[in-house]
Amino acid sequence: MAEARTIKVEALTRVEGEGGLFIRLDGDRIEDVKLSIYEPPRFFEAFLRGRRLEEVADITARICGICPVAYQMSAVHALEMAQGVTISPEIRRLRRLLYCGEWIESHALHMHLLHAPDFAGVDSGIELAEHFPDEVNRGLRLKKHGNELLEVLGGRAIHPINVAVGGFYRAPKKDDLLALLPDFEWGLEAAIETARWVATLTFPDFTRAYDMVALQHPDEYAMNEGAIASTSGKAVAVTDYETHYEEFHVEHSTALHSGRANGHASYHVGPLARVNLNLDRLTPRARQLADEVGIDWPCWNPFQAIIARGLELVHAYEEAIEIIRDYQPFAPSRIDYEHHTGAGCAATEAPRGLIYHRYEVDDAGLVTFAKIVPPTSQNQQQIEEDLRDWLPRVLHGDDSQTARDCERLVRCYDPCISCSTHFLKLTIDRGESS
Amino acid sequence: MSSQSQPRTLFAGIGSPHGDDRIGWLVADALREFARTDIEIREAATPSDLLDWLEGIDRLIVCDACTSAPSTTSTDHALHRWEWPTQEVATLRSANSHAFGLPQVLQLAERLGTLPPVVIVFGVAAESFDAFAELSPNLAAAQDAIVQRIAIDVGPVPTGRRNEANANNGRWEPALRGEASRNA
Repeated sequence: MAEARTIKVEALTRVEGEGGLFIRLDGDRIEDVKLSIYEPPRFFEAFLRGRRLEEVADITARICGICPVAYQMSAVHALEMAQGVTISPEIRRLRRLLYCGEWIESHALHMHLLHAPDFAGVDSGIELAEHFPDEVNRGLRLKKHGNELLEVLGGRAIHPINVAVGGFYRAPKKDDLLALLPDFEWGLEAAIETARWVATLTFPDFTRAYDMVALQHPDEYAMNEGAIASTSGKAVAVTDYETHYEEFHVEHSTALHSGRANGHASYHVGPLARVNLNLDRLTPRARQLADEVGIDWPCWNPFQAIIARGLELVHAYEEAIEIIRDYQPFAPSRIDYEHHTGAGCAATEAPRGLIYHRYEVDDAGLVTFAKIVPPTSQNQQQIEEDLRDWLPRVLHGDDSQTARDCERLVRCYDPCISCSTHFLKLTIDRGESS
Repeated sequence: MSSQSQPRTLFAGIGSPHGDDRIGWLVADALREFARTDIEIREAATPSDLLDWLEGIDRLIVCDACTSAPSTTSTDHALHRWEWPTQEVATLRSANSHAFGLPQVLQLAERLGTLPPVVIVFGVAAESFDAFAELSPNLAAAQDAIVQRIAIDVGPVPTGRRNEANANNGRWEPALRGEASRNA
């Protein structure tokens, strides 16, 4: 009789938030794979009900210390739809600049300190710094640039407070933005070097047939706006998101999983999906680099998401520089509106992937309903399915090595488990596991 | 230490708006009211934020909420104080448990040669991290004493809380009770 084995990773290292991995084997047969989330639930959606719609951007920004802008952007766009607000092209451009700052900060951190160690034969970013000090120092400088841009645009780097429904509470001063240019010009060249460096890493030969999903816009690399495109079908309007994609409860996780509406098939969101679906909308140097990195796009190897992040890092610098150079202060920085009963939804692209918000508000401007679908909850099911395919390749006599190899795959998605806001009540998932 | 006559001190409070995890930010806010103007005070949302701010800093003082901190008798409200390097900080699990945690950030800075010569870490034992909740009653009751204790290090020669200093003829006396060793 085959030996039954259980591999548990109590806490995933180099993953934002708290999550665990559970694998049950019967001999070499994989019986069960579960990505568990056991961070205490945060009832952000319930918390938003009854709040003034003007508070939503600041509240949702506090869901995650790594990607506050993503929450703010989806929130304000959804609420603007609910209130019938049309923002000016200047505001729209400044929002893209803000998103560039978050992509730079988040991608630089993940690539250098959290993900690159997996391909460099070391156990941590600290060890990586010993072997690649120049690369790690470079990554930290890039990360700092992202935070500095957030500080100028958002009022402060940590949980920006300048984002408003209708625009910005205050438009930045031209000189404050121009002061960033020398660093950003250096950063663009450094980002290109970073992308080239990660492309030289050795990746497992592991590809899967994914349904990759990301925003797509006819004129630009989609960040704040676009249709929801898929590598396996037609693009759909954001307003139809809930018709095509659905959240569902699984017993081992306090966070909801997401899947296709009919049958709950998994899908994959994140930088790899974005690049695959928007390759020709990358900025010129990022696009040129995409041809240099030795990938025949579209790419179906999740480990190479680090290369997609590298291309987006270059893109974010290139676009940020262009916006900063062209920037002229403008007024009004915020479009006025009057409260009325309404509903709106929006999807934007967080560093980790598509993030969807929907709100309903009453005529006093109070939120009566909130729904937030973060990227990590959308990727959870996909991660588990990837692990089922990946496990036969990494089953060793040494369970700790198998666990480490599984963690490598999980980290490809840069999961932010503290971002999986859409939790169910604890009473639902306690004591019901089979 | 830098060649300048005045060593530069950075205080960083790590936190979030969730229950006792607020404490790092609250301490930063409170210190801002009376710390010397040459002391840099910042709020961090993740430990990795610190890596942006270390250039030219001679003394780094960090405050973070923590769970499962090693047992201590250092104060009567579970304020832990460590001077880096220490094995105890290496086992500290921050409540804001992002993957690149505080011990890893300090180790990385050390490896890259950017860690200030003096690093002091305050860990505040936390009870609850409910979304957007206020401090738990126990921690709220201890908040002032925690601030005053941390201020002793932030000084390093505290000029005193403005109001109390005025009332005390410029001399500041921390109200902390039950402190044992400062070098846990």
